[in-house]
Formats: sequence, C-alpha cells, structure tokens
Amino acid sequence: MIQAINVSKIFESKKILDDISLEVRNEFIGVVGSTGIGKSILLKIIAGLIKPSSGKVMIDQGQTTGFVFQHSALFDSMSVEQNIRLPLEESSSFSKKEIDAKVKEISELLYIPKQMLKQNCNDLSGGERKIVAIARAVIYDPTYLLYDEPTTGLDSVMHNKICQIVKGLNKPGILVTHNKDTVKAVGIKIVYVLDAGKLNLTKELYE
Amino acid sequence: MVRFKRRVARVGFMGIRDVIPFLKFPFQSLFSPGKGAKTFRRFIDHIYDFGVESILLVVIVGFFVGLVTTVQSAYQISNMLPKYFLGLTVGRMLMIELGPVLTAMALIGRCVSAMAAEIGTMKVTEQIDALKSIKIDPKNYLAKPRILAMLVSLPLLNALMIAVSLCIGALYAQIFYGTNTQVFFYGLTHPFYPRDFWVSFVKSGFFAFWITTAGVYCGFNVSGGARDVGKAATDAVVISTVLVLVLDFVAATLFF
Repeated sequence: MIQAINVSKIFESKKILDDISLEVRNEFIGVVGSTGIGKSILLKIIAGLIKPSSGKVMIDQGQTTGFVFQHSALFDSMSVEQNIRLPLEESSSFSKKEIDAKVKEISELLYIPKQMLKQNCNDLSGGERKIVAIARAVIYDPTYLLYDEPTTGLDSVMHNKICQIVKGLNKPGILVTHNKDTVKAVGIKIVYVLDAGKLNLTKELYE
Repeated sequence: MVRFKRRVARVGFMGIRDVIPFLKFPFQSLFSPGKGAKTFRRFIDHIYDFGVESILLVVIVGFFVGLVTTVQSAYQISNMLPKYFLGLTVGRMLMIELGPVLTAMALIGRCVSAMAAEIGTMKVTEQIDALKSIKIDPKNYLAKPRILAMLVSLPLLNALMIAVSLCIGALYAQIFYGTNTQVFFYGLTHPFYPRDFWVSFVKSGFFAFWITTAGVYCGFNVSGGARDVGKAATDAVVISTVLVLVLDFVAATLFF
C-alpha cells in the first residue's frame, strides 16, 4: 500500500500542496488538474524523488514503484534496448539470459518492433519515447506504476495507443494528467481533482 | 543596482552553503552502493574517455612546455652555472610543479567542463530522477566511476607530459645551446630526490580527485535549463582551476 499522509510542499513561499492525504491499495487512481497545479510534484513526492515540506509517504515493505516521466527522461546516449535493460542490468539478481527474455517479453507486450530496439532514443518520436519509458518502468515488475502525463503532446492515434497500453498493463498505481479523456480512456474509476493545493475525490468525470 | 546586490549576496551565500556538501560529495559517491562489475565497466569507459582520448592534447601541451621551460631555464642560468644545471632546472620544474598543474589544467578544459555539461543536461532532462526511479544510485552510476577513472588517468598523463617535455627539452638544448643530451639527463638525476618523483604523482592524484568532484558536483546541482547547464560548465572550470592552484600551494607548504 502507498500512503501519503498530510503531505505539503512549499516552493518559494508558495504552498503548492496543502496537507494532502492519499491511499493506494490495489486500485489504479487518477489525479486531474490544470497545468502547473502541482500534479507532477505530488507524484514525485510519492515516488520519493522530491522531499515534501511536511508530511510523509510510506510504501509497504517489499513493494516498489515504477515511474513514467512526463518527458520520458530516456537516457539519450543509449539505444532503446539499453534503456529498457538498464534497471535489470544494474540489479544483481538477473542473469543475462533472464534479462534478454524479459526484454523480449516486454517489447512484445508494448508492441516495440525489433528494429526499434537498436535505435538511439534521440531518433524516436514523442509517442515512441513514451512507450520506451513505460517499458523501462515495467521491466522490473514494480508493484505500482506512477504515470506523469503519459499522453501529453501526442496525436490522437498515439494517445489511444498509449491509453490501450496503460489499460492493458492492468497495474495499480496513480496517473496524473490534465486531460480528462486520458483518465476515461484508461478506465480509471477513482479520480481526484487537484486544485489550489487540495485533493478532492470527484465523480463528475463519469456523470 | 539593488538586483545586482541581491544577486551577489545570493551567490556568496550559495557559495558558503555549498562548501560542506561539496566536501562530502566525493566520499558519498565513493561509498555509494552499486553493482561492482558495472561500476568497473563504466570506470574503464571513463579511463578511455579521460585518459586515452587526452593523450594527444597532453603530448601537444608537453611539447610546448618542454620548449618554453628549456628556453627560460637556459636564459636564467646562461654562462653562470654548469650546463648540466639546465637538465636539473627543467626536470625539477616539470616534475614538482608544471607537470601536475598543467596536466590538470588541460584535463579541466577537456573533461571537467564536459562532465558538468553532460550530468547537468541529465539533471534538467530528469534523467537523474529516472535513475533514482529505477533504483540506481546516481552518485554510484555517474560520480564514482568518473572520480576513480580520473584518479588513474591524471597521474599517468602527468608522467607522459613530463616525459614528452623532458625529451623535447633535451633535444632543444642540444640543438640550440649545444648541451649534450647525456649532460642534460645527467642533470636530471644529480641530485635525484625520490620525493620529487612521488610528490608529483600525489599532487596529480589530489588534483584529479577534486577537479572531478567539481565537475560532477556542478552537474548534479543544475536546476533550470540550457543556460544553467552552460553556467554549470563554466562554474566547474572556474572552481576546479582555483582548486588546483589552492591545492598546489597546500602541497608546496606540506612537502617542501
């Protein structure tokens, strides 16, 4: 279980997040809100990438999170395959054979063609980069997936493809976006709205 | 004017506030957890990057340093001291001072600014956050192999530069001052203090450790965009250059 307890974040004397509490067990939840409202900051605090000004985030022992960054954050000096392999290669518990098998499995699951694996990340389109970022996040089978605006800047075809992939992975976690269509397309049932630093559960998306 | 004063005050404050984290940074990096075999592979890659690819630059620098020191030394001792003093002066100058300092300066220009820019770009494009998200310690992944690789590369390049400078110096002395090469090299070893030799390498090691720390630290602390990455590269060069000069003075007072 992921538990955010009374999390606040202040940036340059401006309160971005105000006493937010959130719990994720086995569900996939969405957080929507306008651009610049602090959604990414909340997600990064949950992932442990940013320290909250107050409050804390707890993740049950043995559980892990995978993070899909808004701008993909691929290692641009590496090929697609090297990006996907990296999390397993740096862990001491996988043999080369196991890593190869896992890369093959994930590539097939996310419709990554073989020839794309050899390409450099800089040669990919925005949508392709997102898919590789998802592959890198899921390859070590984290308990929860955290998506930061996974469909931003994509055309409708790519938007639908990414939503289909996210839905197909069927993992618990959190997806933050400004696009309510994305939340609907990936089939999220529990949606929160982040506004003025506060997080409120909403039903309006499906009404 | 008020804005300028605020900016200066902020820079000064940041500078003081950064001293302790800066001093801690290399040790945190060296003791950061990670897979040894992978770190070793990256260490070898960086040895190639810092060491092998700097050979030509160091040879060129060594060539001209050898010429200049020989000309200057010949001028200083002209007709006053025996000819073998030329080898003695040039050798001593190169070994304990010019070799380590100028090799470090050459690598600051070639490698330190580049590593600050590379890591800074990774920071602003969230690649460092991405490393953390896949449970890789960025200090182990980016800083540790670079510090270790520079610790090996810089002393070896220092030796290469001294060797090139001495050979060129000896040749120049023979051609233009009629100082026999054997006499020149006799001066190098009479008297020979082993301390001069190892101090040269110890100094190189210290320089390597701290200039790499400056490069990596500046990269890790970038926030913003392209302009800030450029600023980090400049900061890395300025800080490491000043550090070399400060450490050179410290070494001079400690060892001589």
